[in-house]
Amino acid sequence: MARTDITSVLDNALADMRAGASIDECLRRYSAYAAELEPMLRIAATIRRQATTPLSPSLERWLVSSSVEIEQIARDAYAHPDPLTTRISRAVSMFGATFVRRGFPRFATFAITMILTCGMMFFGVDATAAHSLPDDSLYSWKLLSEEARLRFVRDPDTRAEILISIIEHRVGEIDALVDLPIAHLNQYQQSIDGVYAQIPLAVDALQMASPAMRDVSLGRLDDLLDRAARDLQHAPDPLSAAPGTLALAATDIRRVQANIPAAVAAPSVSLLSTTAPIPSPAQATLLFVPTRESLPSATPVSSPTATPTLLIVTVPRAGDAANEHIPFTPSIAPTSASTTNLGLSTQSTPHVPSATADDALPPTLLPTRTLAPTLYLLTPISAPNDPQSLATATASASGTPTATVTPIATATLTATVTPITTATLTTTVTPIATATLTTTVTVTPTVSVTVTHTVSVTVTPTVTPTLINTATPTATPTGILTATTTSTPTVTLTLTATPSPMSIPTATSSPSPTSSPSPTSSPSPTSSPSPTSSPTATPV
Amino acid sequence: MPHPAELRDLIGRAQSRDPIAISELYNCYARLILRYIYVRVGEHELAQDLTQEVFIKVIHGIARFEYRDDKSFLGWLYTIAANVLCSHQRRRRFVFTSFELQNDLIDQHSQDNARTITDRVALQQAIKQLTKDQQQVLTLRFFADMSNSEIASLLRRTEGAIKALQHRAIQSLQRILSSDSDDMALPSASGSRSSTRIDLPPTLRESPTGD
Repeated sequence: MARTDITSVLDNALADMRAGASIDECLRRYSAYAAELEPMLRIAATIRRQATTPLSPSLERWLVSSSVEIEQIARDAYAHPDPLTTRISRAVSMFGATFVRRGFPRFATFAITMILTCGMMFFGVDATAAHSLPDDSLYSWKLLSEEARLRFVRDPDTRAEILISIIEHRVGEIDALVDLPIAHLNQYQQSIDGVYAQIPLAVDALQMASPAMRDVSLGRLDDLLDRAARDLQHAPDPLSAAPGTLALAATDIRRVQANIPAAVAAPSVSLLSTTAPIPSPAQATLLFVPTRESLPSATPVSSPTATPTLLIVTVPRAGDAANEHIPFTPSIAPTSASTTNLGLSTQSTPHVPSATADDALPPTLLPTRTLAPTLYLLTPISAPNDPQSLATATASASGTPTATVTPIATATLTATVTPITTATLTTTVTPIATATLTTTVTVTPTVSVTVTHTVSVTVTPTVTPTLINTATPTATPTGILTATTTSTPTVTLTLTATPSPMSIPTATSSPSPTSSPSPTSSPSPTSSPSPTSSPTATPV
Repeated sequence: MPHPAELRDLIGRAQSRDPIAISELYNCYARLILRYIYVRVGEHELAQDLTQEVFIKVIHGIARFEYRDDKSFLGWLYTIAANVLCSHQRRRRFVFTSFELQNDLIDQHSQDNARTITDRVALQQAIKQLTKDQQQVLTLRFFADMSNSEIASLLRRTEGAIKALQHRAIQSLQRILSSDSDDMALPSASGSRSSTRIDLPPTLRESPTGD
């Protein structure tokens, strides 16, 4: 305390002396500290006297003469601009000095704190998101995190491992949803879609992976899909879902599971090109999925045949017989954003699309090959409580497929409706074609479109077949194709069928709309396809 | 001393590599630096050389100087001078010179009176024994005539720290000078037996007004 006091007293006394006070005055002013203060004040006075002592005349003379010398030194120093390196180092030095002078410690502390806080928050959120389920707020984060992990991996083995891990997450979600007291259908749907989305990627990765990794991963994938199917098979029906909906999804997973080893072994074989048995009488929505775009060949193809493939999307309904009276309006329409190359060449590469409603089927390798309706994966699960779904059960997709047609292209539309009963199916291929099906039908359609062109064609038809239930139903599809001579054809097909409650017709419709654009490349030629087959329907 | 606005303009011109501005700065401040260095080294030629060395460093370093006020520039100059002195002492492996050798340090060209010379020599030796921080505070307080707050701002310390440094520096000087006075008094005491112990060199005790 005393030391602090004498420090302040000394400072005050020095300030007084600086203002002109003498030592004695200061000692009188701070008489309590006089004994201790006096020697220090005398030393301070001596130092100040030395600091104010005039320079000797010789030094003064030197100062005058040296001024010129200093100016010359400065002139020499500034004669040449500093080298770039010197200027850079000076700028860095100035920046560093400013940075340090203006609170580097505070800034560094703030920055480190922020980095640590953000890091902890990130990993905390990531860890929390890892346990999220579909429809949770952090579920999107979880998917993004998985995507990010996948994006930075190039090694095939690691990539396969991560993809299997992602599938495991989805299966784990299904498992967790089964255990939930209340689970919604769309939650299951998201996880199942996630599984289907990763399977083609996993197959691709496994094809490039090492044999050991391939064996291990295949076994693991098989176990996972088996587990998913088992969970779905025994899961309670979720809210707003028809009975047996999840069991149907389990069946689909089993089918995909069975095809995976072959797909991995033979990369060119489409994983999903299995023949789909059409479920027993059920409301159906036919999605016309043209083949994916392929490059037109430079030379005319001898017999190019485009083979659009029908996606059969069934609406599983328990007790379909009981619901036969409910009219429905299936529609046939091209999937969105799919591209049709009607002039397939053998150079086209099949592509295995992910099993989503918006994806297109791969083009076939052989122009003449006709793909049977294949995908089971697009199984919309309708909510029975939804009046619209009950009444019409209409699933439709529309889009603008684009095709580039080489000199000769043939589009063949074949629809086969094979119920026990006989039905008449009238298909009108006009900009908007409609079909009315008065009964619930079992549809096993195969629709292919063959369009013969000598020039590039843009086809924009809308097909609305009308299926009229008669004693001997026949299907008379009429197609009107509008072709324009652009290289980007657009095909839009819509099939609307309304079943009657009394019979289950089976109709085979094989329309073969053939467009014949004018050779002069008129912008909007109209083609009138003729059906190549007449569907028959046999009443039950 | 130039007016702050003039000083700012001078420094700006010097930072633009104007030799005339450097010459003007030299004319304004060289006397202060030379006096400070001369007090510290006690030799005319050496003080001149070191003063020139200080301003050569100013020529090369003025571009990095950030002007805040006139006292900041003065403090910067004295800091350079103190660094030059340290470097010089390291180069010469400066050996402590006792008061017995002080006559060797008396500049033959100097016309200072005996008391001034004695004070200067005593201070030279005593200041050298202070820490660098203590030396810097005393230099800025008594030679640059800066206040505690200005020194604190220049050295980026608190005013309390500057006060404490100043107190310890003066206390150390008092102790060193008293010890030196004892050494000087002992021979005479043994010779006459009438000499009494003194706390300060005689010259420091003969200044009742501090001047």
